[in-house]
Amino acid sequence: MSELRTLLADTTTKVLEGIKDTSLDAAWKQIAETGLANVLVSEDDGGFGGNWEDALVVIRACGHFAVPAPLPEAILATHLAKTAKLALPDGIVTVSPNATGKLNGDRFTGELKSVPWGRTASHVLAVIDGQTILASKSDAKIEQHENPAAEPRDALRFENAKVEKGAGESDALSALALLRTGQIAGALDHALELSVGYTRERKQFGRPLAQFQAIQQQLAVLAEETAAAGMAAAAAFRAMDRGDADFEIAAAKLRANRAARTSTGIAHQVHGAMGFTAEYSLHHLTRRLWAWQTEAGNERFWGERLGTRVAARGASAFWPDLVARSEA
Amino acid sequence: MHTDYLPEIRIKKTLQRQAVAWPHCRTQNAGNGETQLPRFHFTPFEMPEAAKVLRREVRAFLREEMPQSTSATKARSWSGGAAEFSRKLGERGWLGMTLPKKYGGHEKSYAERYVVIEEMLVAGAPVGLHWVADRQSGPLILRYGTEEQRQKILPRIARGEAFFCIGMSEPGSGSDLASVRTRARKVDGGWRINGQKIWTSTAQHAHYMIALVRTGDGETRHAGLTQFLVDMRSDGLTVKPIANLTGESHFNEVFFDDVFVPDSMLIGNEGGGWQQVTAELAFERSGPERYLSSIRLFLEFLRVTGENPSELEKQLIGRMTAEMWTLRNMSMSILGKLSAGEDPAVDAAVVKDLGTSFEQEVPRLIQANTRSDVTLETGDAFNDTLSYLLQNSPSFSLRGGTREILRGIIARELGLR
Repeated sequence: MSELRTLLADTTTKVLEGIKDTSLDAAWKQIAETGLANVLVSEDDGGFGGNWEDALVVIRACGHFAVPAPLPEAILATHLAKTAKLALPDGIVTVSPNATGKLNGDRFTGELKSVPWGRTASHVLAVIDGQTILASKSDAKIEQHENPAAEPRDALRFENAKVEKGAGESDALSALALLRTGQIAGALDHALELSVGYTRERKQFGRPLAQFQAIQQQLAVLAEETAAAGMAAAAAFRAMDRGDADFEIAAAKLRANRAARTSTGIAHQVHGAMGFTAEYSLHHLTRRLWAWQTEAGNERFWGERLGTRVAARGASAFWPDLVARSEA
Repeated sequence: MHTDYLPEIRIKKTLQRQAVAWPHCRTQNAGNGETQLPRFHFTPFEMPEAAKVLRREVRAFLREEMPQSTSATKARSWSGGAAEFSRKLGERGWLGMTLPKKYGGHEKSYAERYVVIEEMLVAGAPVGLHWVADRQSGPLILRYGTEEQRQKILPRIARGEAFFCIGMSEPGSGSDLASVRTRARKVDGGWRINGQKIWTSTAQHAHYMIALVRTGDGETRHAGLTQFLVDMRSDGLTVKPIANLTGESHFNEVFFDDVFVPDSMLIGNEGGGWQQVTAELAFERSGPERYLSSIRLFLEFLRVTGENPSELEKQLIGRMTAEMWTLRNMSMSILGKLSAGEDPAVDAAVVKDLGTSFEQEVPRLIQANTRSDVTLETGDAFNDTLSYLLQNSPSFSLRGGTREILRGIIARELGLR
């Protein structure tokens, strides 16, 4: 692991430990102070000067610790803003996966749906017809929604609101899918740790659950799925550093979703009733894992998108194309 | 900054509950300030330039030299074989690639060998005859063999002239390999072997078997096992093919009736067989053949569904592509570990279980999502490939270590046993 990644891992762990007994207000202040949201921002501009593989360390940790704050979205915002040559304001900037409406000059009328932490953010980045816009929350009418993990996913309505218009094209949905694969990988790491820890302590029939072969075989599958999700995420984040990562993100979201689906079942099964309680921490991970499977495209969505792409190229191009993704 | 999104009490409770989880993650900390990586850490591996160049050569070779065959025959790949093709690969320098030049090898990297076998498997080339020799017997002899064995055998492996089979399983010893009972008795100048091996693939075509047999009764069940290089033409050795459920015979029974093996054919240390066989199995479990067995069917499916498949077919294609992409990355991550001199045994167990589960799932998923019936053999490429793989897929999660054994290895790594 590079020096920067070690630093990021340490910083992330420390700050997330620090926020456990504070309000989100104070929590975000601490996160902002560490500058973790600026992992992708160049050192000249006061950031860490990291690439997407470095950012994965932070985003994966956000999944691991089930962070109740839009840190992954804030990281993505710096990237989208840079691509679109937009200056980011102070405060929390989030990203909308789903924008509908019309852009008339620098005036936006329409709706941003499922905006992560929309009510908490000061601004939202969205992409309308490939064009990035930066809207101020104060101009929006907010309808509050939450995903199954109680994370805010709000609808923001704008009526002829003045927005900043960016340059170039971006794909916010794809980028959010990338974030979720990193978070899924992190949450699975943690669910595996909890499951291993719990089954080693919990005794039935006079011995720890971990000693039963039926439990061992299930946990091995959980470990395999966790490894697969981690690999898929790592490959997609690496592809982002090279430019076009559409293929890798689609594949990663599909694989991470599958891993999440299988693994949440196993983690709960081996925890028994305890894992189903509000008291025990497993649900902070599993409820997010369920929510994140739908967010930024479920398996039906990405399966069709990736399948369309592969089918259009035909059987003879399949293998050369697959290899070319890592050997261009 | 806004705090109006959730009642304060709810946040606090959420965060407190999370605190319950944190001590567990702390156990992952090494204590030196560095956060320890998860136990199974797969990182993307970058193919070296030489391997990329080689891939183009291999593809050009296959366009010229790949024997004309049906899709179902191609699907057999490393279960099928052609001696002529093996020798051609030897001529090109694509067998025994990682072996030293002084033993007829080519001193190529693991990555270059990986590229060759990957392209062979995808093309469905008939590589089964030399497969075991190239994959594991050669490296085993190089690592544990005597100088005489290396000089005598390795050049023939590299030329595609010496084929090997693996003498591990016995009627009473499948997954419980340490219970082998075939025994070698010390005699003047060598050993006499009596007993029986079973499920020995390509024994009927092999020149040598590397047999794991009992030479003593040690204190533990893993002691007293020894590996021998057995000439398949030896007196007293009989090979009896076993028909599998399709009627084809790939695996065999091999009977040893007082078979003489000279002292010079003992591999490594007397009594050191268990350790050697464990190292050998890591080679056997880590390659791309553990997820590519059904790729010919996937390609046939792409062909028959065409450029504009139904929504259902697109989803299936997308999902299977995502699996293959991820498995290839994981498999290459192991290649990276091998290249760096690390022992990838546990990671190999992860990839083999995931990979064989996938290649086993492919014919079942395609069967469930195709409009046509599946018939035994019709001459139709898609049908025949599907029919072949449906019937052969049970073997994928048995050969080279069963799914349950692999999961046991992973569970041990997790500290569960």
